[in-house]
Amino acid sequence: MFFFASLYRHSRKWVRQLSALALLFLAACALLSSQLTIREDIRSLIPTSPLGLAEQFAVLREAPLLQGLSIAVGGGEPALSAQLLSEALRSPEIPRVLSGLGATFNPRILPQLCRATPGLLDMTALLSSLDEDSIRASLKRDRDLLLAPQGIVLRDFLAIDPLGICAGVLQRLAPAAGSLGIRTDQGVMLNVDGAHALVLAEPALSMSDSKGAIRVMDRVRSAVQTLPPGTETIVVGGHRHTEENARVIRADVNRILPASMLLLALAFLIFVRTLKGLCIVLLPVAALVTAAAVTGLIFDELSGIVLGFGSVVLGITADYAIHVYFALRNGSDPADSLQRISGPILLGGMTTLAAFLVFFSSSIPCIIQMTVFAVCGVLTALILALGLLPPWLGPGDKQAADSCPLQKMHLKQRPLALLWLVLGFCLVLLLYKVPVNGDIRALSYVSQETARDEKRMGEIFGGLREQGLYAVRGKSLEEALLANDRIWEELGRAAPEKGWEPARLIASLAPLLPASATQTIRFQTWKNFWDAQSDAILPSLDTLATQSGFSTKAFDPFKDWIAGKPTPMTPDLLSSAGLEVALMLARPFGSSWLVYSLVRATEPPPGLMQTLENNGAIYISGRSFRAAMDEAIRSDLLRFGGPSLLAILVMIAFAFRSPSRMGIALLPVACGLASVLAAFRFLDMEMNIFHAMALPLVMALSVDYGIFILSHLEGRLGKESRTGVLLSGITTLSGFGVLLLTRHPALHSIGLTVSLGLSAALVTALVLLPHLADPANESGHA
Amino acid sequence: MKSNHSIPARAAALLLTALFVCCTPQKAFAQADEVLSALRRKAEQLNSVRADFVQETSIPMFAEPVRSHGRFAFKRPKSLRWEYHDPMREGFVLNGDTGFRWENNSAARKPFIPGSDPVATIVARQMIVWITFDMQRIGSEYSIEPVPGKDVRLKMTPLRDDVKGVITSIIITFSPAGPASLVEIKEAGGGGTSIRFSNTVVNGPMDGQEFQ
Repeated sequence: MFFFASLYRHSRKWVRQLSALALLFLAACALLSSQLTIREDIRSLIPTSPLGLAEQFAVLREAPLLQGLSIAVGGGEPALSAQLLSEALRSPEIPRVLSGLGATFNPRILPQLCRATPGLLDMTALLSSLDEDSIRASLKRDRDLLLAPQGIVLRDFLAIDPLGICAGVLQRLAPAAGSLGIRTDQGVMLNVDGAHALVLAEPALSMSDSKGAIRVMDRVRSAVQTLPPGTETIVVGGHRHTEENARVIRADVNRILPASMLLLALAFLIFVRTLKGLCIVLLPVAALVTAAAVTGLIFDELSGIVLGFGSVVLGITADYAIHVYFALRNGSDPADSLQRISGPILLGGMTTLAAFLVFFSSSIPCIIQMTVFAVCGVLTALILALGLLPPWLGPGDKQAADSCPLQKMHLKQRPLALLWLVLGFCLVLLLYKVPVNGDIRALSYVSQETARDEKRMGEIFGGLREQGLYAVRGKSLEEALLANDRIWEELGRAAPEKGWEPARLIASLAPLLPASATQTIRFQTWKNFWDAQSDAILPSLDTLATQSGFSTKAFDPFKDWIAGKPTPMTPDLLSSAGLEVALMLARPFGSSWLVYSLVRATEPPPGLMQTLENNGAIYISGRSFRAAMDEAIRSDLLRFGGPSLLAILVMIAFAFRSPSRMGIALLPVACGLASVLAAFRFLDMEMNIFHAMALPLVMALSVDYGIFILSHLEGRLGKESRTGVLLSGITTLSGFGVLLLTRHPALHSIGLTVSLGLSAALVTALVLLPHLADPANESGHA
Repeated sequence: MKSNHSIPARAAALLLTALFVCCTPQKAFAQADEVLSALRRKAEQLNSVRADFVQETSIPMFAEPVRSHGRFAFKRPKSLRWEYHDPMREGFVLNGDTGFRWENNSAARKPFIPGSDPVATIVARQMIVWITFDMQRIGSEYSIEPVPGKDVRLKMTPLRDDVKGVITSIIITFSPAGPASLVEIKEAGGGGTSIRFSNTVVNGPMDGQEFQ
């Protein structure tokens, strides 16, 4: 590595200028870092591929009842509490609050809805049954209804619909909320036993906006305070998760970065205690600041988890400064020391970079950000450690054994081979069926209170948020509604043959709000019928109505209705009828629209999937999403692990060119991996995507210990290089170890896995490897 | 906060309000406030009430006014029976949150729940609200004024536009020595409904079977 020796010789004359330049650069980076926009929502943790999974998540994120907040209100008078809460919630932060039919329900809307019913279904069968007997029975019923208490508000409605044509259709509208798994009572959505009311809040601020989520949740808490004492309130939804995660990540970052710095300073005080040794602390900080600035320039917003990953960068990058510091401290000629140390450092750095570069194949945005962050940190640290640090440190004050010539070392081949045989067998066993957890909830922080509330909400409203749903997409609402109508029609034909009724299992917008094109076809059927039949039916109606005591003009509105053009059902009409809750099933999705249907079953009913597939609809349930996530994690495990291992093997093979030496250098890797996998297997833990991500890190960082110890055993590095390995191990472990203090699963998972693996690797490197080399050769260097 | 009580609820409940406002000497109701206070006091003392009624429905949809007969019973806290004997046999019983109804001269009972019959359930619930005389709710939706004359009469005029679209006014006449004797509802679409009560028994013996 003559390059760095030569660089040192040239740059030592410009130490001050180089230091000043570096300081200026770091100040600029620090300024940029302070402008970072941090996001703490789960979106950055969801794989963007395979496409199906990403699409599932995108569709799921906008789904009704998931997009906003669902609030269950129980105890006392649920209906009254729901109304009070709705009023208190309405604010700029939460402009849309639904608690049921609401105060806007007006019985005068019934005739308007009636006029729109011809578009809601094909009435051929219904109209064909209008014989004299059915007309007589309908008129009798009309008369009784007009005399009953509710008759006072049904006058106009019955005048339009004496034959009960639209009454049957409207029955579908009234319990629309009921098909969502809830019923309405006193204008409020209630669960089956009526003990809890449901309030749906749709905040103006996206749940991906952590600051907004905090404001929304503050609003919810203050609204809940207005409820009567003894009211039980359960709030679930994405905003609560985002707020919770935001608070946890912030607390984690505030905790781990100082803790990491403290441990680094402690290591400095114990092992170094010199002014120049401060570089061990300063270089990682410089790497951290640069990494944050560059990552911030590349990405508009950074996941908060990436900042938490800063402690890892601190821990890893300190290694390079440590090795350079010890090498130069013990040599009288910095250029010679640099020449000796730069090889192992570069090899170690390259293996680390190789491990990180593999993460670019990840489909998880957060991991990509972490990779950019780490790669920037490692590169900065390498450049500073090998370029700026040597002239700044200058010649050491000790005469060390670094000048000893390289010696051929005899390795204990048999024990080494036996060890690899055992380890290899164990690794194959442990890698077989690694337990994987694809639950999205395992990726974000969920407090016990939130988990308890979600479980309780599921109990109260029958797992409304846990059941399946399907969505169809269209460039416009009309196009999406039309696709939704097609599915509904196909299900209506096919499902009964398979033993289930769509209307009982699926809450769809199709019977409530068909596409305009669908309504137009039905209007034509309606018109054709009355054109042909009105001459026969109307005289019969007049005669029978007179006989039943009705006035001659009683049903003039009916005659006007069938002679005129039917009113189309529109979102506005549905909304004015107090059925705004049903409109939640249609949502804008970027430049297109999604129309959702809720499937009230944990498994898709027979034939549903085929129908959906035929019509390009996407089906999602908690179970299907978890299965897809499982698959994505397994795929990432292979994608991360394979190339990472291959890159390390190639580099080690190129550097050491001997199976025995490779066996020594790679032994910490094998032990580190085996210890992690054994811990997961025997402690009954499941691997999430962040555990999977940590495995290549274990490999890449463990091999560094093997490289340095082997270099030390071979006499390339001085005796203090073992202290260097110990210190770098301690700093790296402290970087990852502090992640064990975090509450966020992503950071905790990485911290746990790497700490486990590196501990085993460090012990292997420092304790086991020297015993695998010929003691006579090693003592000769000591 | 706006109330979401529907129109039938208010209308039908007013009919019953008359039934428990009883026995107060005429001169004691010199002022509307006093009348309302007395109503509220009476309502607080009410544990049960039963009465027969004759209803006359005179609306443009009918060629002739139609007279119907029936009876009702109420027992605290939330039990209500309302039924017609003639010209049709139908009615409902509400017990708290559940109940049943029968119609079309059939003895067959059907569940009487919000999901199956939302409007009628709301009506029944609101009847109970009116019987227990929640003055805060009623007063916020109707202006109440005494009607000059020999009898004690209260005229209630809806305040909300949606209610005005259905009901013009409600006049309740109280008998000098008993509960309200007559409720007259004037409808916005023309015509109206009157209900005349008789054989009213307040806090008398009540057979629980009536609500089963």
